[in-house]
Amino acid sequence: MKNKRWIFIVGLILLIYSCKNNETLTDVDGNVYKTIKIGNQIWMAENLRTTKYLNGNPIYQLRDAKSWSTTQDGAYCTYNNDSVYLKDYGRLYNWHAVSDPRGLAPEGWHIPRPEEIATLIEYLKGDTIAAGKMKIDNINFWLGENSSTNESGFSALPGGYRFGDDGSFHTLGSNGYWWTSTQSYEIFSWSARVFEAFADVNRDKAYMNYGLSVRCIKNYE
Amino acid sequence: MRLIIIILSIIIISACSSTDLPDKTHTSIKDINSNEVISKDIKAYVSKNLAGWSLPDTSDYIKSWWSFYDKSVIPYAVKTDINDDGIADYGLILKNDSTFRFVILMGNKDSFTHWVSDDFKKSFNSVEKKIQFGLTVQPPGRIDIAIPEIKSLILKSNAINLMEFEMRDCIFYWDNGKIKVFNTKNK
Repeated sequence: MKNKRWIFIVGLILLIYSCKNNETLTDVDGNVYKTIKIGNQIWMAENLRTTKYLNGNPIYQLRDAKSWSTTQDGAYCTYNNDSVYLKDYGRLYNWHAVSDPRGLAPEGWHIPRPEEIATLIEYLKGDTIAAGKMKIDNINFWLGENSSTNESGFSALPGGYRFGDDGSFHTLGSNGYWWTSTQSYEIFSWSARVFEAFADVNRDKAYMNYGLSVRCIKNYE
Repeated sequence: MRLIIIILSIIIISACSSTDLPDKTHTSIKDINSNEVISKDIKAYVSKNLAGWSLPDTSDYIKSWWSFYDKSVIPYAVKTDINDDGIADYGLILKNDSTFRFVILMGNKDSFTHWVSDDFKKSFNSVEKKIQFGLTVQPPGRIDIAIPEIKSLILKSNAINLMEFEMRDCIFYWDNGKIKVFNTKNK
């Protein structure tokens, strides 16, 4: 009887863990990412790090500033071209890579559309407070601020950006920028608000050469 | 045993449901400025290095300021990194007996260095003898203005806005190792 009781308890615990969203995602490079369910959406809980398109073709790594600012091909880099930032902040991609038909997002996932960001923000009770629930609650990031809750599990990090006009790097530790299919959304250390459209490729093609982080969202079944 | 089953059942139900968030709309909201900005280190630095000047408090602001803004939002201090060194810098409005001024504390590994705006010599509000200016952070982007003249500023890093209510007076920004001022209003 005692053994049956323990088997039952262990079984229930296993069931609990199987119900939790412990799903991981592996990209074409073999990088493994945590994921998180927020409302009815499933998001990557880390920034993208792939160096290849979904079909296996390599994405150009452009370290040189002039090459970065003039390319019309998809490209990636790490902040300051320093691999020390790769693990936490992932890679920065230009819009040519984000929009490449060979696919930047892992199989079964896609670059979020603006309306999917709107759904996320709405679920988090509005743009004025959503960022506080999205920022990672670790004092080592976001200029040491400690008021973020990361209630959503999105675990946003301030990966900064690469300026399109001259290939320079800015705002690591303070600002996080992510691509949607047409523009950016951004989160700042000093605010609980989610901002949008710092880079908007429909407004100005110059933004196509900005380097921003990428979070993918799982395709709906 | 029955109790264990009930407790585990509750845990299972909550684990299997989606991650609904508690509604904390009215609590824990960090606005642009907050009490966290003013640390003991900042107070100590101002006291030691800027003799005769001190941080204002809410009572130093004109009454109508608080008709627009919540008292939990501190208007005279902001924290951001304006020179991309990964260390927090602070914009402060400081007061003395008759006037107030704008100061940037540039954070470094151990302490600060400070920069005082020569351009920003404001008097207190003529009627109430109090402050009607605040600070916000200006994130990177292109700023186009028509007054006092048509011109643009492309900000690559964070900067600090000096605001008279919702009207921007000027932007303090980092450029080639120096702090510069971009005026956005007729002086």
